[in-house]
Amino acid sequence: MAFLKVEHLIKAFGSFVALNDVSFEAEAGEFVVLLGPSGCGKSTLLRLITGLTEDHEGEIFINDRRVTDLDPKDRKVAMVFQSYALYPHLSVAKNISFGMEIKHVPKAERDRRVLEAATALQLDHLLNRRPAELSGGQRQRVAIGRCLVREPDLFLFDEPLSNLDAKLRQETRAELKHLHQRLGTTTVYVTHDQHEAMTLASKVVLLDKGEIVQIGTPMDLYDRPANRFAATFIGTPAINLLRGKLVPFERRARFEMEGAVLEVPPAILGSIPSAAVEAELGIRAENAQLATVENAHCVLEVDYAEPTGADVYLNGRIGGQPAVARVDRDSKAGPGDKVPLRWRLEAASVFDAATGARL
Amino acid sequence: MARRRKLTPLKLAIRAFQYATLIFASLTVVVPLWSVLAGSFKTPLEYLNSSKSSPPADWLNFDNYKQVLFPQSGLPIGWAFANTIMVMVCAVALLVMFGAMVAFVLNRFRFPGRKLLLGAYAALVAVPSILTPVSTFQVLQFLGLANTRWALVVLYSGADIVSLLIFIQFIRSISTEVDDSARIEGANYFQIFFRLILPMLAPAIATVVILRCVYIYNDFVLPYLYASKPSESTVSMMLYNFSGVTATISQAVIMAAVILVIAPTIVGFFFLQRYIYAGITQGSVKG
Amino acid sequence: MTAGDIGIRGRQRRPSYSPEAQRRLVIVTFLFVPLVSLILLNIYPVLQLIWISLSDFNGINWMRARFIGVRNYSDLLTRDSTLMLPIVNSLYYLFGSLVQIVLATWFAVILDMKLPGSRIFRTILFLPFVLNTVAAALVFRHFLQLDGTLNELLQNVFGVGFKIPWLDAKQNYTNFSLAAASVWRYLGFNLVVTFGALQAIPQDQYDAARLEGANDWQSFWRITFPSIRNVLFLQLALSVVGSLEVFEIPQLITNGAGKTSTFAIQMVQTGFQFHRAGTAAAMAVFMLLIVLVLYLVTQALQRYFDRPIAGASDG
Repeated sequence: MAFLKVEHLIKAFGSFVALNDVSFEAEAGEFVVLLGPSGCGKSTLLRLITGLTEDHEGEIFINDRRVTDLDPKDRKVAMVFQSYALYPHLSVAKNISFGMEIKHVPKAERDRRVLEAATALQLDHLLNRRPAELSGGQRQRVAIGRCLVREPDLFLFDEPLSNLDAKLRQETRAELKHLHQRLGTTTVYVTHDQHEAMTLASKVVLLDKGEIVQIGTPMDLYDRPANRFAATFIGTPAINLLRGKLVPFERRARFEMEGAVLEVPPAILGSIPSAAVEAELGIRAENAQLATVENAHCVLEVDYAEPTGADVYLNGRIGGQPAVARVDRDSKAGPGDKVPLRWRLEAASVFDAATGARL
Repeated sequence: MARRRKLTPLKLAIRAFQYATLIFASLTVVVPLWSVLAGSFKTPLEYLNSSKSSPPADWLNFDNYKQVLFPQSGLPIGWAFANTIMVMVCAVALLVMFGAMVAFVLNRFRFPGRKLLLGAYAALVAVPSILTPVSTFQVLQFLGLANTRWALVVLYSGADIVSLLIFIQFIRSISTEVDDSARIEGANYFQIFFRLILPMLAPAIATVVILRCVYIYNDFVLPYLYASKPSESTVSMMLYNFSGVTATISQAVIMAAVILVIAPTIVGFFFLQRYIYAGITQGSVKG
Repeated sequence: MTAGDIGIRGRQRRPSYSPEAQRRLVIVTFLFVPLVSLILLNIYPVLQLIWISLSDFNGINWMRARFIGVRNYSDLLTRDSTLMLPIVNSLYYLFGSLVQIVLATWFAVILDMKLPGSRIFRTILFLPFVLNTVAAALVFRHFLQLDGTLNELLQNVFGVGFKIPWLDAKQNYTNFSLAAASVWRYLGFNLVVTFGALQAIPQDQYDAARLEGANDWQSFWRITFPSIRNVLFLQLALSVVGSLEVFEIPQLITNGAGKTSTFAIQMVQTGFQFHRAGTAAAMAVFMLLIVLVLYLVTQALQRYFDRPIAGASDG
């Protein structure tokens, strides 16, 4: 059986349904990211896994044990909270050993474990300090240290990077990645930041409004999003969505929109539609190529250009619809220019305009 | 309000007026106190013959104080101070313990009657202690505590909406993630309260302790009604009894007693000013 | 080996209580003593008060008390109406309280300007509030008595020819003296509260007003006053209730004798000295009802003043 198994979880608060039939699995050692916008239910899902929130339908299994009815303390989990939840009146050492003191672990053993965790996290010289005297990054390491000494089956993180500034966020992200590689503990990580998800996850569970939108590796979600929501949520800049019609043509399909007619590679479609369908073509900016007027798919009327140093992002319109294209850094295109473009359509997705589902 | 601008004659006049009012008001505070302080160092004869606001001949004349501290008859006032301190310590300890518990339960849990309880505490503020003496006295008699200092301990440690609000406000600022983290680590709610929440409440506890101690020390009504026996009473009653026997004791001695009573307050006040201001502002915000 | 295993080695594994049961246990345990105290010392006395007010209990012998219905109340309005007279004196204290609030606001505004010496003045003005009640009363009595400091000053400095009997209990005006004592004692409280509210007003608002050309007076009425309105209201409510319950100051300075008696003093006397606990209880209930009505009125007034004004943007 998979190491972590969540089956058909349903959780409602009064009449508000936070999670609607959510299921997923994770193998031992995986880094699972629960991703989604605010209010999608990801934090609720995390709390159900820890056992802090009860009273739900469905089952939860951790390491071959059915933990659905167990207290948080019996589930062998450890969690790092958004605000770290350090105990301000206790020293770093006592913060880390708190759980062990509750369980009456003998002092010698406690001290040993604390020292072990502190050394691993480079906190050994801070053991007598109080949280208020520590920097943000150090505080987070204390929170992690507190989890380490529990030797849990599952590590849980609730948006741990959102309180940090950009630079610290990057450093800490790298630290977390290293930690996971070293320890190999199965991890469930909640965030709304798709960039974090992309860089950290071995598996992403994308949620929206209490339901699972897609489960897969980060690249799965990036290359083959299951619906419009998934496509727009992941990736910066946001994916281009161009409205038009998907029209069956001979034994393939064509995408017709104002300003362009594109041959759709059959590989990216689930099936060829029987009749014309209102659809949206999703294609990411980096799949654009400069073309000549003759072999161009379409023309981009540039509004403004964003040079990022490594490339240039041209923001403008195709057939009246907003679009972004990534071009070489030497491009001199500016406002008002009409740039002919080709697209790598193997990387595109087509969505039903009405439902947003992948076609 | 306004920052420094050019001083026009009108502004100057207004400023002068404002200062004048401040000084006048300050004088109304300082002069009576000075008068009492001066009087406490005068011999009875000197007191009668000199102007009330004149300084004493000898600032080190502690005779009056000695009379108060070691009277020929009656109880030395040391008793009153001891009683007062004992009542303060016990009542405040109980109030802090149970007040924090109630605040914890009200803030962290949902249960039927939660709002009702808070409402009950708030409503009781409106019932001044002066109105229920007969019934309260009955209850105290039933408990066997009437006319003892324990009656005061019990009464002072009871429902106090200001302390409760201060605790609740502070607990609100303690994130529930602390509770959650402790629960995952295996702590039960009792452990969470005593090991984590209570220590984290320290600033609020300090405020409550100071406010309550000042209130108890200064209170007159409760000792008057429920603990008027001299051996059981607090400084308030001691002073009250003292001031009634003007026939046999010179006013100067009474002055000394007054100074003895207010001296600790003034000293404490200078050190704890900030906390007292903060406590009052906090307590009145939710008024 | 994990922490969990080490912890339970050598000890029987205790069954863990369900979270729900644990919660209930904590709630009950923590609330038990406070609730008992609340009931015994706060709720029950009020209930018993009402009960006593309907009897002729003399305060000592419960056995001899008989139920007499609302006779105590009707008596208060007719035979014993003299007992109710001192309530008029509350007006003196109410007047004093209003003066107190105005003065406190005045001083609070001045102190808020952070002029040199502000802190000292604030300390001095607040001082009487932290003094022991009896001590403060005695200090003020010493100041106002016939051969007291005030009369001396008036004679020596201002050449007043005679000693003014500020505390003559047979005169009505003495209540003004007592009200003044009350103002002296409690001004500091109002001062600190209003001051706190003033400090909370962000400087930006004043800056913006200055840019628009407002002078001090306009700033006060358009920015300061609306912001402290609630706090002032609170003080007003406290004053009204306080002036009805006045007890300590008159009791301590003039013993509540003669024309300086108050409702509360009268009530305590009736109950404890004249052994008419039933009547005293009726007076107390009467007072409680007044307080309740006033409370509701102030609540309604506050809600009226806080109502959203149609058509206005913010604040």
